[in-house]
Amino acid sequence: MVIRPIVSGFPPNMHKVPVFADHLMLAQRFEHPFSQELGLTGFGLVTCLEGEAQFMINDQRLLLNTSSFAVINRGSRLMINVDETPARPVLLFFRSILADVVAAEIFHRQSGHDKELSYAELKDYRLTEYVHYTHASVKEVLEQAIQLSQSCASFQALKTDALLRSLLQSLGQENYQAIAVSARLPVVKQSTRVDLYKRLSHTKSWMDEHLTEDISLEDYADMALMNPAHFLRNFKTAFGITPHQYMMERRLELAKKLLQNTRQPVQEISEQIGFDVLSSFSYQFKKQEGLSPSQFRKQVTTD
Amino acid sequence: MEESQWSKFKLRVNLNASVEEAYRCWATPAGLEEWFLRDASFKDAAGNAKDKNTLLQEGDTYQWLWYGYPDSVMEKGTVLKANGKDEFVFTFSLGCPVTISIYKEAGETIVQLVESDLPTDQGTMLQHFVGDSKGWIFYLANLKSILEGGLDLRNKKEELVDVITA
Repeated sequence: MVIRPIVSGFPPNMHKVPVFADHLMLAQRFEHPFSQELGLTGFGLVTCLEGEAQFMINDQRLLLNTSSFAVINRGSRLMINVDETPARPVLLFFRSILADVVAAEIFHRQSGHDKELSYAELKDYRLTEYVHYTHASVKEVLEQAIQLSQSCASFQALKTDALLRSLLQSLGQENYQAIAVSARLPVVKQSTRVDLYKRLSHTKSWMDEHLTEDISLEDYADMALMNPAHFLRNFKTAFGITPHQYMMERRLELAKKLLQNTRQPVQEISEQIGFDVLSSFSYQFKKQEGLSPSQFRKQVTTD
Repeated sequence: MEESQWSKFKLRVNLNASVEEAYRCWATPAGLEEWFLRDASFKDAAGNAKDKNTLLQEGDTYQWLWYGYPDSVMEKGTVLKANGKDEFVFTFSLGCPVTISIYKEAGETIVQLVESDLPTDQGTMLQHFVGDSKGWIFYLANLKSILEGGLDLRNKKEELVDVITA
């Protein structure tokens, strides 16, 4: 992988569709405001490893910080704008051939499913071109890749590639799911389907980030730019579950992790994951797991 | 240097050990873990996991994990040839073949490594020719160290980065 600064090292012939021989990462810490039109891009992702930056992907304006990232589809137009400094935006473009290989792997693995997706569909990442939250693992991979690409470690190029390949495979898998889920949406026009899916998924990702907060259906719907009834109906159609059920499942998953990996009292865990009343948490937990939180903890710690 | 000269490299190390022992170190999962990998998992062509002490065979596939790195840094590849005594070939970086030949010379055992078919564009040359040959030099030295003295030179701490020993 090659790492270049965004300003000085951006070769003039790469301002148009860049087809890279290898992964390319553009990374730089800005001390002063900065803005640049980067033209058409390859397939990759953008984020910020320090501060925040605004990215214009086609006609979407996305503000990204250290806990969010966005995927960019091959051929999308990209512009970067850093208003507040210091900021360290990062742009990672995957090697085109490897991205195609990942799409081909998924294409062959899906054989036997009811509705097979085409290879061309799997190479198109426009459905995932929205702000993703819960950024920890992506951030970790990018930091590791930057560190590795500048290190004297053995097989440093091979290890960087392996790291980025694992990231690429996760995005490929996410894209596969996105295509399958979006197909359930009751719309005819493909552009409407893409737009609707992106708004629902962005909101779902935002829900993951605000799991423990008390947020109403109206707030979620606002986030998705829909009225509450429309949001509720489409969310359930796409993901097979209501927003409330989704939040409850995610909260209980978090509770299970805390019960298993910490010694926090059950009352404290209940409050931490957003329940006002302990009995309500215990009821929901038992309904899902068939055990009370204390029984669950005893069982997993004994095992 | 002509372009073709960047498409492969050869490294040799002399060992005070038998050909059989050197072959075991390359051609069994347990042997590979002694001097090279944190975890060497192999499956046969039918997808069954191989026992750690079994000799590997042509068509076996691998997933390798390294000391000093998380599981996300995983190398996958295939055994291309294993003759059971002195030659072992597998795919490695960018799918390029690595050929291990083991033979006697001047009373010592020589392990010869040839990594070939490397793409010769400038980016690959800089990163993979240099990076891979540098990596193999360390690991071949560690193989010698393990087989002759038992000292493992690998860095096994994830918090210690940017060292040639991992």
